[in-house]
Amino acid sequence: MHADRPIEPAAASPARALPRRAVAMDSRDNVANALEPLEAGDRIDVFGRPVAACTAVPLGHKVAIRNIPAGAAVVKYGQPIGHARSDIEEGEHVHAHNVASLFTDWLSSQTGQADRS
Amino acid sequence: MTDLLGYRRADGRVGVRNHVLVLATVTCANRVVQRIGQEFPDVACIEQSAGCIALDDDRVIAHRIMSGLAHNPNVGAVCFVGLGCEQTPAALLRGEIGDAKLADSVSIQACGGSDEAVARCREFVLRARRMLAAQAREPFELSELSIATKCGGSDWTSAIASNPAVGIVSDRVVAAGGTSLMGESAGWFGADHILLERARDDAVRARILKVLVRLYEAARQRGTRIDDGNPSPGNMAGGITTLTEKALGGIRKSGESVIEGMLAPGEAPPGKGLWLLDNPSLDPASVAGMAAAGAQIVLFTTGRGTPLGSPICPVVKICASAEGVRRVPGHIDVDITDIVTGGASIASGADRIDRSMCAVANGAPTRSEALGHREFVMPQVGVL
Repeated sequence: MHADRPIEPAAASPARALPRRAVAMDSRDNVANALEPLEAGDRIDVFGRPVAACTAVPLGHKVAIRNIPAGAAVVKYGQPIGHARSDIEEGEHVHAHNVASLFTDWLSSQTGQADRS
Repeated sequence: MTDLLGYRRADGRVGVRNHVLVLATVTCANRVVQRIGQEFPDVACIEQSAGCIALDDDRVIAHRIMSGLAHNPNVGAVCFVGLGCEQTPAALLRGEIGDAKLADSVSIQACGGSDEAVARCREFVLRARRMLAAQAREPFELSELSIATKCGGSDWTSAIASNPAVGIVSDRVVAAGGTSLMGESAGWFGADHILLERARDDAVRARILKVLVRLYEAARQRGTRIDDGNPSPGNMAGGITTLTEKALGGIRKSGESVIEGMLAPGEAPPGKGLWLLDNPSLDPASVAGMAAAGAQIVLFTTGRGTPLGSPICPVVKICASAEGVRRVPGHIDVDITDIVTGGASIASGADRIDRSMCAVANGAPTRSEALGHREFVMPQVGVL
């Protein structure tokens, strides 16, 4: 899937052998924010679980910490923030190129809510 | 928290600034206001991009905003400058001030032209300055403080550090009996369910939904969607992917307090506590709406970095992005990058914001004040 960006073994770059810093906001999240720029092959530890970056991830951008199948929710703060446009692999950069916004049927979901109140 | 010292007004409210405001009520009066601004750089001057003919919803908003700005306790004296045939006449606005503060109105058509109007304004400014210079700051309580929280040029650090830190400060102000306002209604989509849960009651919930449905429908009727163009290119470069993600991070600046109500643009809150304000996301329009709703200070988080200021309210710029601070160091009042880089707690960031807020309330100039930033855009129906 990422033939154009081969996974770089962590050992190839001794200076980067230590895990990079990343943070996830909620235990239900399937993405984390990279607190340092990631290169393919860099390791992050999120909730005590190692994840290997399989693409570059710019500073502060999101990296998948689980496989996210096409159409599934991208979850941050324990809330869906969009859905995957295509299969997203664990370790992949998650951004507008592979995430779609959720607003296609906002009004109908709200009408339900308004009826309940 | 430090003792707070401000300017007590006739109506009992307290200003943290003692501005003389010269306000154009229509574009045709802008040149007169500009000339006063050139002659008296310390005077808060506001120009307009409209004011002659507007549909009734925009007219009502503009009226409330202009009146609200003049009533803001940071304003010690106000002169309204109109042409004489504008929709919301200068004399009408002056009448609404009553005896609350020194006020006057000038009509260019009635006084003989621009030069004559400038002369009238000059006379007012000199009188107002003399009067305000004699006024000393007096102690006031945190419960008398009204803050507004705003984010602009947001990036990934806004959600994880600066907005939660401002949220703690907002909760502290509310717990002390003060007032906190959060605007940017078009930026709530995707986090609306959380705001609805935090609403005081069903009536408030219904008002929040009504505002959101109106915005959503307005976008749809124009053949677009509410998330079109939001997040901005800068937000996206800073790692924010969708409006939902931006909204979930954005609302954290309102803390966790109960939402007492939903205010129309320029409407002042009828009580203390946390209030939502239906106003634009566009920074200068949003801050204008907050000032019109009576906020004395704006706590403004940024990731990308922004110079924005206000003619009425000190705007405290808070940044948790090392990149943002590096980009525009001279625009940042409170650097809390160590929350992200050095393991400092969000609460320690809130403490630093508190200290800066109190110093600014007591007269310390913000970066935007020192640099003369006084941006203003009138909130209007089509301004998101």
